[in-house]
Amino acid sequence: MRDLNDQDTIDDAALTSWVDGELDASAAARVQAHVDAHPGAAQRVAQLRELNRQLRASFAPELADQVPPSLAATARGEHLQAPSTTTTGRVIPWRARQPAWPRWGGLAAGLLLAVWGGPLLWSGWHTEPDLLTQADGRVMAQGALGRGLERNLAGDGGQDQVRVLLSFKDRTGQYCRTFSAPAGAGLACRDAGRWQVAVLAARPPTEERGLRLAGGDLPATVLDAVERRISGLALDADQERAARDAGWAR
Amino acid sequence: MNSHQDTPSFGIALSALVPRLRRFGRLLTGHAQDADDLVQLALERAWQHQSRWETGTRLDSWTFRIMQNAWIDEVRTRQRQAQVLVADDGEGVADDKVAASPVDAIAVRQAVAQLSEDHRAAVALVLVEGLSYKEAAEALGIPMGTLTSRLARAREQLQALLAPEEKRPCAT
Repeated sequence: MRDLNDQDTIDDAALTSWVDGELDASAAARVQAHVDAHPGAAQRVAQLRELNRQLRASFAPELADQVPPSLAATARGEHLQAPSTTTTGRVIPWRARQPAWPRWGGLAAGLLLAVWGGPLLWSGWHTEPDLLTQADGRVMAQGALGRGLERNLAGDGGQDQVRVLLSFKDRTGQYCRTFSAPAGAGLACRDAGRWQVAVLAARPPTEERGLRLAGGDLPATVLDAVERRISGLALDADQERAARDAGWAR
Repeated sequence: MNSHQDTPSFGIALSALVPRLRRFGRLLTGHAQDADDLVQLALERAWQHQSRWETGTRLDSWTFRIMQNAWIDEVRTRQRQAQVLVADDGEGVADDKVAASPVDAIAVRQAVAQLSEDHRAAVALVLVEGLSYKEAAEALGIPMGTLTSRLARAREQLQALLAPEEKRPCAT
């Protein structure tokens, strides 16, 4: 058991345990007193708390992802079979779990469709066909989405328009941008002069359900896609402006 | 040991856990679809071993442990991580102090992805899922001292990766 009787000997492990809520009341009181009396300890505590906060916040979007029906059924104990002796590498492809999207389903090879929490609502994107077009089996941005991706800087655009949230270079050197629109969010990369949509996440009708994420947040599916593609860090404002002004040339 | 847990409430409790199980799976495997495979397997095993769960104990800790074991026992032996989330070495973080902005979230997730699997699991259970040290140690099947040591090293690494002074612009 850690000896916390001497306030001056309280070490980093004790501070960490305190921040993590692992100390009983009397030990916590001693650490509190130590922290109050030592600015260095207080600074360390603030650092630990900030890291904890960042971790919780950064992985929060996962909880808003819709649970695939197959997992939900298994959790409820439905359709249980003999225990798996072999699992599959990619058992449940996303597209197999989602209902067909009337216009785009099955057309766009390589396009990851996902639902950003809540019930399925493909109609969000489906009712905005002017934003998307299909060419050579790929989904391309067009209309306001195409213009927004081509011209807007991160943060441009009103609430009802296409907003670009993040720009970066992928590992092949292409520029990619995440975007948010009334129907949802997604990721597009510039290829041969056009913005190819790689991920679309439909936004659920969650304002009334209290589930809507903050405007700047991206669904976990889009974040995952960014993580898989990004090379280095996201562009800062100056880099983004320079890239746009150069026509997104590699 | 055997609680004779009634099946409907077990299913309800398990269903409520699924989003967290998927998140833990993503942290553990580094891949969304691998995570869902792992959750599927863990759910099957949870039902299979339902009688071993004691009513009144935390179902989340118990199920996380099943997932951890499943990952060690089966998934990892058949399937190496298809893709680690991060390949770029030594990247710092973007703007600090902005709550869960996409840039921050990505930087943090990239940093976590660079942790060793053991450290990542400890971070996932304690700092993301909010389990106590004791619960997390039990879920991972390790002594508490090992858990706290892994957490301390993981924190050091994360803080080094996310330190503002290491921030640097993206090479273009």
